[in-house]
Amino acid sequence: MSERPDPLVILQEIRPVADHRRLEYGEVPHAEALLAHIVERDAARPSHVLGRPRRPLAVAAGVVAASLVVTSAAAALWWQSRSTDHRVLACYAGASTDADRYELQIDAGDDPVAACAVLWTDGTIATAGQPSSQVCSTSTGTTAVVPGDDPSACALAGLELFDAADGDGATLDDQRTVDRLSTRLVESFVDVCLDEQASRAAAESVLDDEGLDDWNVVVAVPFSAQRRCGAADVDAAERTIMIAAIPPAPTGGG
Amino acid sequence: MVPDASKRLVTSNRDESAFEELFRSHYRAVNSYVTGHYTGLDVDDVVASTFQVAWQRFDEIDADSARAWLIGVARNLIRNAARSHRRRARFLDALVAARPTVSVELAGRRVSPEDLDVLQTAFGRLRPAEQEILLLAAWENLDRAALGVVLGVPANAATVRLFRARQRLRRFIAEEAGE
Repeated sequence: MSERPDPLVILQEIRPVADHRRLEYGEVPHAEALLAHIVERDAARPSHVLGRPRRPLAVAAGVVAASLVVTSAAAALWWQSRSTDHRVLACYAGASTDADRYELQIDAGDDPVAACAVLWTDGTIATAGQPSSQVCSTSTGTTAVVPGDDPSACALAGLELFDAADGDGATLDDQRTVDRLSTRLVESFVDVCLDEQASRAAAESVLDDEGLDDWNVVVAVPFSAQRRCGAADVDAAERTIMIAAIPPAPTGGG
Repeated sequence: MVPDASKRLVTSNRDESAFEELFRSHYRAVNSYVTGHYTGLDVDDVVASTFQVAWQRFDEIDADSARAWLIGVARNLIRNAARSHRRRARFLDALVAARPTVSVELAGRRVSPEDLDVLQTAFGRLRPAEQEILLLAAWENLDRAALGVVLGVPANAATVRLFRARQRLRRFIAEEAGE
């Protein structure tokens, strides 16, 4: 095996040809048409004569709406800062990439659809009640609720269908557990450099707090003089918190 | 939960010039990601949808991780579209196509067709998520922070996942090679 090249290096060697060159004006006509379509302007107008950026009316209206909730949002954030078991939920007003998006802070165990329903009755989005909705995920893992009768609503909003059974076959409850664990681990390991003993203790403390007696803590990457800080991740399938030793951050954390 | 008080409308003060710069800087990179990692897709459609999402969420994009952010959006669009009819990542096909009949030099070493067969079989034993993170690291040259952006997880978690995937691939290669 010692003669065998690093498989990651072989993977790099056989990678497809990647073209990361900047797209210059007029090089790819259909790309220019796409750009024009997206920003709703004349495709023939070169970039260097672009005028002052236009702000769509819908966006301007949104800025006004946002300013109305700033004061109450600040109070809410203070209130919520007392709880560590919460997460962000995005509620969409429509199944479209153009739809307005509202963010709520919810507790980990809350039903996302029920949480967004408030906005459909209090006049924020509507007053007649919430239509049939789908639960989706954003690219950063935030849970989102989009109105629509079938799962294609997620795609229409540019989102991924929230699939609790995706990946390792976890149930919705498992997914929520993983969400909570991940949040707690980030809080425990971010901006500090925990040695092996402290890393294990931090992970076990999180498991204790969650009442997860059947989970394990495993050191996946050994600690060394160079790799002396712990990082953690959740492996739901193995019911394990994996700890990897990493070098200290260049600034702080050491 | 206090939804009444905490709701806020997320809006964008979208700047067409800045968006155009983003588009021109990363259009080909997103194209390359889609064509490189997947088969049987309408590449133009995925790229168009990706940049439409980018335009809508322009304020959320950090210039330093824009490519990773865009790849993450494209990835989600593909995964969403492919969920009911999951497409296979291109890697295994590429390996078959690339399989030479005689030993070739890769990474400065002689690699035989048998070695590539072993790699293909071992790679096929990995979980899809493990295959994906290895290819993102190897083909897109993403560092751990960027991998985190693409996958929607903290950088440290991406580091652990990559390490573990690499470790399992090595183990499977050894097993397949009878070592």
